[in-house]
Amino acid sequence: MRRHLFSALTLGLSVLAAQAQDGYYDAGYTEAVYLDELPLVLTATRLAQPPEQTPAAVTILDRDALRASGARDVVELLRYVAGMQVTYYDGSQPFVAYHGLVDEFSRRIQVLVDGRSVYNPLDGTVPWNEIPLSLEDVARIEVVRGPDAPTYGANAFLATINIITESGAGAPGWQFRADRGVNRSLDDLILSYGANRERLDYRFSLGYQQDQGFVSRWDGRRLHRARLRTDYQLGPHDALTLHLGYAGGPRRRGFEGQSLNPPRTADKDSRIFQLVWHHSPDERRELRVQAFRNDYRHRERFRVGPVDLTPLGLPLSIEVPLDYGARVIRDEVEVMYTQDHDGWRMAVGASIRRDRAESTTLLQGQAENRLYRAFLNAAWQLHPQLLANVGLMAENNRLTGSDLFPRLALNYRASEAFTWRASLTRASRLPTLWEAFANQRLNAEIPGVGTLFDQVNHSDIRLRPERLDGYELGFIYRPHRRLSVDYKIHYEEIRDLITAVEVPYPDDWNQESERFINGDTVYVTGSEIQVDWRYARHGRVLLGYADTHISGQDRYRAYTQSAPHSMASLLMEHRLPDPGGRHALAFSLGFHYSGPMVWLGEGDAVGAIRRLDLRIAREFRLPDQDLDVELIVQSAQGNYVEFRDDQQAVNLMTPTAYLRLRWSRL
Amino acid sequence: MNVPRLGRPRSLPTHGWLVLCLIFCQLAQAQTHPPRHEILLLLSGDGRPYQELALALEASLGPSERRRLRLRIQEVKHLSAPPQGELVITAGLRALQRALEQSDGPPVLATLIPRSSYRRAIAGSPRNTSALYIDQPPGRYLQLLKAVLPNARRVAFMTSPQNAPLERRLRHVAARLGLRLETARIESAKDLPRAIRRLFPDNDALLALADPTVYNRYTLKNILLASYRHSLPVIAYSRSFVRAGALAAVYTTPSQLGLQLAELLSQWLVDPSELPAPRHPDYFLVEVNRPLAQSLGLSLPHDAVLMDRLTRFPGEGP
Repeated sequence: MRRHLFSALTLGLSVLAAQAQDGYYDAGYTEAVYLDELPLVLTATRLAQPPEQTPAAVTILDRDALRASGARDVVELLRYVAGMQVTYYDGSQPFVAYHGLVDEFSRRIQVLVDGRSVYNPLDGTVPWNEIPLSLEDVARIEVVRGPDAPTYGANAFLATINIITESGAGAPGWQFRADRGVNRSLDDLILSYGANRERLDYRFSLGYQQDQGFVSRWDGRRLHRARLRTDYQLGPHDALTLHLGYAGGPRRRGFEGQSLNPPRTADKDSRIFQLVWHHSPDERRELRVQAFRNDYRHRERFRVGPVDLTPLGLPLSIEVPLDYGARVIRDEVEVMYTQDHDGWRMAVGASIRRDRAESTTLLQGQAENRLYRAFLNAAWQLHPQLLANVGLMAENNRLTGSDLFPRLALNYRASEAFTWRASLTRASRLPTLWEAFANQRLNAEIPGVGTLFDQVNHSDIRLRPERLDGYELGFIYRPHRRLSVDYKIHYEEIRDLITAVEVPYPDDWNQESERFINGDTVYVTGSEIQVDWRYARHGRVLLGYADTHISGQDRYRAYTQSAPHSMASLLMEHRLPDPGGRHALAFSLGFHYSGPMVWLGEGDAVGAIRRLDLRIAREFRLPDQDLDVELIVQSAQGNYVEFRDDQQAVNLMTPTAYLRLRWSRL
Repeated sequence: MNVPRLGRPRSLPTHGWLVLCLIFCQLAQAQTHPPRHEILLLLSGDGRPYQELALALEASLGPSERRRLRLRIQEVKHLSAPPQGELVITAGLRALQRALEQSDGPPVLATLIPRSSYRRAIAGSPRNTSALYIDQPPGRYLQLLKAVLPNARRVAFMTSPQNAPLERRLRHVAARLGLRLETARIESAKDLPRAIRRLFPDNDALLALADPTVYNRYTLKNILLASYRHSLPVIAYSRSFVRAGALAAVYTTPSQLGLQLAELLSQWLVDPSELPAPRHPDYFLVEVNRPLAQSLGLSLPHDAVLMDRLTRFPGEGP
């Protein structure tokens, strides 16, 4: 009781302490045990939706897959999702794309952590390193392969990655992981603790991550992460969840010997706050109210130069101070109500979002957008075998006005094991604040002459959102719980792709500047298969294959070459437990193939990639402790070029071995 | 009578005034046909379950029983003198404890009570007692498990030391059904994480039977989240457990107990010197969590099919 009150107070919820009078179980074992209401635990939001009922193809990566992959962070794991392209602009800036059209500012996928949208509204990228999240915090990742704007709004454009985190009750006790590079400098230290104290669950994790990036590049990173999640049960029908997080640290950028891109250190961090109230009057209805704030900061001041001005007729050279810094804040409040009846299910809700950004170099000031949304998603069981998913989202924002995203999907269950799925979806991508308000200008004070400036880019027209119409036909085959096969063919028509083009700019020192416009239209066709097979109690195979073809005119960018024609991935784990179950030997193998393609923007053409990851683990099981010792080798097949930019940078992935120690204790 | 019958609870209004109304009717009847047997229904509280039980009992008595009985309904807190009558029916543990305070008095028929609590309450009491339990015969839980998960072989079971007698009965039935029970002893909530770690990864189902040391509103979240993570379906004992996240449960409502009490009373009227033997309820309902089943990739038989399978296997005796 005292502990109970204490936990209530720590949350600042002293009002609620009055509710703390539960005499039920102190009185002994009465009939109340059979008759009392219990808090709802596995509500619809906690359950993974069965693939037979989803309107789009979904790949689920669970904790077993996380462990088997030997990955160090979430991005590495996404390579196992069919059609997902993962690469690195530099060692500290990974980016992820689906169906191509991607430059170093990958901005066409939505990423949600516990329902909180994390992409950076200034440039549209996902700050993977600054998401306050270690792999140990992840309970499950659900990747919606395909547009899903009717559910997640504009920007759920090509794909949506939903990350669901672990709670104190879900992962009680201490967990510790240490990774240490064998042939390269690399360190990960993650410590987390979860507990379940009557009404209060909490879980915190602390992480440190360090590596030196790619060989012969100045792109190492050092990251600190802290995260707290508390779940407070107010009563049988109400719960509050609070997330607090910080992630940040220094990154190396630039190149040795390049005066215009000198070696330097950038500091990036993010702070998040999220409060969610769940109210479930019964197991079929739920009201969810959430408020969150993402606060990103980027500090990067340096001087370029000396720049020789003799070509301009000035016999001198100057140094130019630059400030790439930015501060980006996103606030959102969302209300969602879900109801589940025999035969139909619906979710209806609304949200208000404000995105603010401040950047001296990119915007010469501040920019803001407000977004209002209302959405309805319903699933009707039209017939015992036929399920219709209808979705509609209405959106209004200051940049592009109002928009409507409909979806219609039909799932036909031909047999217990086999379901057909067909869907039509419309989605759009809003211009980022940078695309809408670009004003990237470098100013140089020249003694005796005045200020010279270089207008790198600008935005002076009202951009339209990018639009996508997607058509998908596929099937799900799940003969039993241990095998699932998902196959689809798809066609997407994407119009008004926003891009920067070089235009004359009279006042500029080189008379040129880039301007953001709505440009090309492309057509993406392809097919994908994802297989998840647990062939034995201790063996599993996760297989993905995608072939993607993009056609279009390529007036402004080489879009048609921006996705490999074929990609394949395989993750296989086999465990050999000893008969007593006290220890086990586990092997995993990860393989990737990605055909030749061109990264857009500052990227360049790269050849076909073949990569092999290996892991061997010795697992010790004690009654209340686990200890795993693992050796992981990434890129064991040799070197390959992960990414190449149009200047001279080459991200060469070399075989990287590290030792991993994992320990957990209840 | 031992063959359980399929029965949904009769839909009954639950307002307290109806109870009063019925009592008035009884009083009116009493004046014209003086009843031969005085029966007291002693309720542990005024909550909805007790009212449902009282109403169902009243409504289910046949005309001949009504002529021969005089039923008084009272709450424990309004009882000033030791309970009077030829038979005291107690609803709930508190009412039973109150009725047994005196070492002599009328025979007691306890209901709305778990079997183990009944056993503990009557231990050492010289009174003539019997019971209609609220919990199901152990075999019925296992039958449900078999009906819902036909391929299950290894069943996890967590129990406090107080529930050890139940475990022995369960083990016996499980062996007959071809199930292997993997048991963990839970002395306090502290033992749970270790038991979860040992039992959840390698079993086909978790059998959750009422045991407040193991299953209470504070441990429930831990257990259900872990069960979902390990794709371990939970077979439970109450409707609210299913709503919280168990896969299926078999349970008896207070109305169903009221209905069966009426049947027991008519049996008792034949020979008032002998109480019917203690027993588990014949009437029950099955609740299934279909969204969870779909999420786990399980296809379950229809409710009617499940009820049919369970009714074909009578639960064994006390």
